Amino acid sequence: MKKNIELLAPAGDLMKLKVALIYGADAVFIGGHKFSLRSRASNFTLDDIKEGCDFAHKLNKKVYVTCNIVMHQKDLSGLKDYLISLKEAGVDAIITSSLYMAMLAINEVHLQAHISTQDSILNTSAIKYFSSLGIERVVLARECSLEDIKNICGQNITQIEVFIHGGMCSSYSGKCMLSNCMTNRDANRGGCAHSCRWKYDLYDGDSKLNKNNEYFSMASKDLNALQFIPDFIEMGVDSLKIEGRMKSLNYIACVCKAYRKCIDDYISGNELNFDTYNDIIKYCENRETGTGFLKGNVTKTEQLFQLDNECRRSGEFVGIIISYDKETKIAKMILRNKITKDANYSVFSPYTNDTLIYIEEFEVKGNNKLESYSVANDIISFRCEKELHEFDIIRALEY
Amino acid sequence: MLFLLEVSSLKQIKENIDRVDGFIMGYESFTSFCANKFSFAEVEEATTISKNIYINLNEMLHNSSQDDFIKVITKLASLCVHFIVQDFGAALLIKDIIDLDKVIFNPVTLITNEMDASVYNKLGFEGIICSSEITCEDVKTISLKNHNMGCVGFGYHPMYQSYRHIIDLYTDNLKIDVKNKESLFLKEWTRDKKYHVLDTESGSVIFRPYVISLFKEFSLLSNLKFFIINTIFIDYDQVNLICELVSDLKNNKIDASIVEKKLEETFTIEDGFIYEDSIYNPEEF
Repeated sequence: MKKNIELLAPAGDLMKLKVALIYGADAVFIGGHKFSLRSRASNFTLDDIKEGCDFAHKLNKKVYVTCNIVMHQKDLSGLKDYLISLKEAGVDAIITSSLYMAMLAINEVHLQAHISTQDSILNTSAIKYFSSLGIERVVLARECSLEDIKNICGQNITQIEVFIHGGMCSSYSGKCMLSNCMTNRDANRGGCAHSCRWKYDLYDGDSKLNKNNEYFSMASKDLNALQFIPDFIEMGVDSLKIEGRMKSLNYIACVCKAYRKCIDDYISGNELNFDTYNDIIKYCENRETGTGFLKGNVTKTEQLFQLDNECRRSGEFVGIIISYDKETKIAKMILRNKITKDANYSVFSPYTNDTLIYIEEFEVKGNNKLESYSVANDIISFRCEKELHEFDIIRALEY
Repeated sequence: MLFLLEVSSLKQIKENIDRVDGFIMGYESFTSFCANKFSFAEVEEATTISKNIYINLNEMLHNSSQDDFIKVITKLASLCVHFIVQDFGAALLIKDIIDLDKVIFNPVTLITNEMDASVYNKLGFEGIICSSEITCEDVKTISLKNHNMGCVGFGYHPMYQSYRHIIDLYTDNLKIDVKNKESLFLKEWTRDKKYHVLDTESGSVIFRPYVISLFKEFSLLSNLKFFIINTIFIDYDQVNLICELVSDLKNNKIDASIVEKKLEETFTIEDGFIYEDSIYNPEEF
């Protein structure tokens, strides 16, 4: 049993980094302004990275920086200086698809490197080689089955990281050029246009096989591996990765708390309650989920044939608490969605079970006469008898 | 520069034995996509026709298949063939059986700069194939620094490879009967182009709509060691035409611009990323 298994969460900005760690992640992966996929995520400046590392290290947690673009010639410029900057900022490791970058980081910058899932690593043959180079961790391809993962971990070659939750590429990661070929946006350098989620017709020669009101889709359901957490712990997996640097604060908080609870319950010998864990995640899901390749190659139940059915629940997320004064009982909150006065709200907290609060009125920019307000990122304050904490999430009961 | 031709029959090897420098054959196992798959007996016969047979084992190698892969390599190695592999772990397994100087590593997308090429080069591969996502200028730069580089110089390029059987899953879900799985295309709703799509035992592959030809920038490629001609979806007679042109080019009877002109008369050719690098910085969207 791997009692110190790592829960690794994505963070698209500094606030998300803090939320991920507070809600239970042991480590976060973030992107800098250079060499990182997900270029539309609000990536971190070097100052942000340093602040994030300081925050994480005070909690005895880690920060990894994705440097996982497939570098073209012009991308090579400034690489070593950037890696040195990351090292100086306190980054614990980079995640890269480039063997050259990994070697440069380890041998010349003395910064650890993890091999990215962009390399689609499926077998011990490659893992042994990476280990021989001093690479301390390999992120397995999402196409690995539970049996594959068990056999790989059983050989105890190097640290193994597996995906447990979030979006699944339809293609082998790193092998997809759909976006690049169709839109000139290079997925292997962070520009993925998600062309696999578009609508297509299927033809046999000149004959269209699907009906006019139907379409061909190669899109995949998201991964939800909650039920396999005990297996991963028993196998000796080192790190469990949640996907989604583009995801919201609410998503990161929910998913981290659910998986944290599941891991802790299993390691503590408590009874597992998957309904409870999944109920936490349901508040933030925006796509149907499945078990990916963990049970072997996918069946049709893992595909998303009706893309229009994607559910979106983000409207429930009203805001996140940034401070609470115990004497005045005034809470300050960064608003994300509409707040209405004279209403009940639920509190999703990293420290307690969900509770209800009543907000009689709120104040924004000196005005406390508003019936409702919905300008995202504005700071509002309200009085709350119940003690709230920094990073508590406030949700609307109806929206 | 060595011209390697992907073949669909033994007859094609015989007919082009003096025109190109080597022949690429798919195999009955561990080949994902190719012009045709051959049995061990056919590969053995091919080696009696040409000494330069390259077996294209381009399937991604799953962990549980490693032992079977070693058996296949051991058997094929007795025929003194060369190998082309896409999976890095597969390449390293071959290294335990034969020297890598008979192995071409073609990871399809990963070789995009001189430094990464150099890291793989040090392992001793016979050849390393540049990504089709980079410009010819970048291919030139990489090949100036690394002596054994190659490119896929002609043919339909894959643009999606999946372990999923996307066609089977879809047609099963909608109960659609597909008579001929070899002639399937996808067409995105807002675009006119049709993309070849294959469902194989290894998963699914989608191809670019038109062939890409690097003959038009041939002068930039003079330092390359390998020029691969993919022939999947290309008619037999058209393959022979390509080989005739290559032969004339090699013998200095014509220059590459004539080759390109002749090919343009036969094929719809797209530039891919020959000239234009793709975009990825946020401010570029």
